[in-house]
Amino acid sequence: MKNRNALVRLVAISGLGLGLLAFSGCQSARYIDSEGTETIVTLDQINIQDWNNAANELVTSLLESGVLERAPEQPVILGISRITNNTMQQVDTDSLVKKIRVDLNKTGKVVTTTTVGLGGRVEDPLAKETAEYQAFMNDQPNPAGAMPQYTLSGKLLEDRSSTGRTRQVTYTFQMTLTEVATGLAVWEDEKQITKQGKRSSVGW
Amino acid sequence: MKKLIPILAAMAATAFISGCSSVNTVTRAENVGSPNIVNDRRITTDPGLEGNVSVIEVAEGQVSGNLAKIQVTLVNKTRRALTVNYLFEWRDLDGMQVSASSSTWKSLRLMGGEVRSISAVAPTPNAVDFMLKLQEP
Repeated sequence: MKNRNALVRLVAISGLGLGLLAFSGCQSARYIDSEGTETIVTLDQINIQDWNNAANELVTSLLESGVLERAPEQPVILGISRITNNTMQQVDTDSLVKKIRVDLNKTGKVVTTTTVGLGGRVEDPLAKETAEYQAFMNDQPNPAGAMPQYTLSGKLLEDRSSTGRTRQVTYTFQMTLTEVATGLAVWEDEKQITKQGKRSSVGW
Repeated sequence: MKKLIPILAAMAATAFISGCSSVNTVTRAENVGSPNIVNDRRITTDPGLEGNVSVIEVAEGQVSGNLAKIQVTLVNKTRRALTVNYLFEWRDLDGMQVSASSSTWKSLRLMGGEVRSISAVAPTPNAVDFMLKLQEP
């Protein structure tokens, strides 16, 4: 009788184990469209669609302003200045800035310098060193590189509030385009994305 | 059970009222601006969505010298708030799709009876034609 109970227990445990194995085997990952409507929406994070929407709205605003069209030289040379992250999250601000750069570059109206950077930190040190090496070999002074006519700076902000069980978070993406010659902010805009929910949710 | 009926009735009334928040709109009797209206062609696969949200007009313009801009005006024909997802795609003179790194589906909340415009700027000067996709989530 004792042996029979042990056998039944063993079969049950084995069945449970196999069931769990089969179940976890079905939880396979899948590809979804990064630009689609199946991406995950969470309250506590800036999601991929938030970066996309913010970049898209800010680029549209900049193009509609007509500032680039009025620039004395085309295409405009843009330098990337300080992008401050004042949110509670550890984010790479290139998630926003790179998209803005790519979209502006595609319009043919803007090129971004990669050899002039804030505090001497350049995006492409090899390009800078190669230019300096070539200048040295040709007995020429160090090349200054194409200096930016405009610089892009910005700030990411976060505002949280809640009432009862409902939580709300607003992410603010602020951008400023400064004309280097005058030091004036010739274009400024901000895009706010607000998400509300009781807990993290999937989908739109 | 007798106590439950008034509570359920109150909940139903609240849901009905909150679901029927519609928007009253006021505009100038005769608009000063005259949009450049685009003749459009529509392909409908979701008659339910078309019954709820209609495209009133499609207008086009140019920004930054040589970039096309499209503005589509939508109206929520129902008395309740609706969410619509939309995406603009662009094509060049050869009919080829032109991509933009930040081109993505966006979500639009329309209150009952609300008229609202959505717009997009072409990602390149070569992008001349557009396609707007609308989807009910």
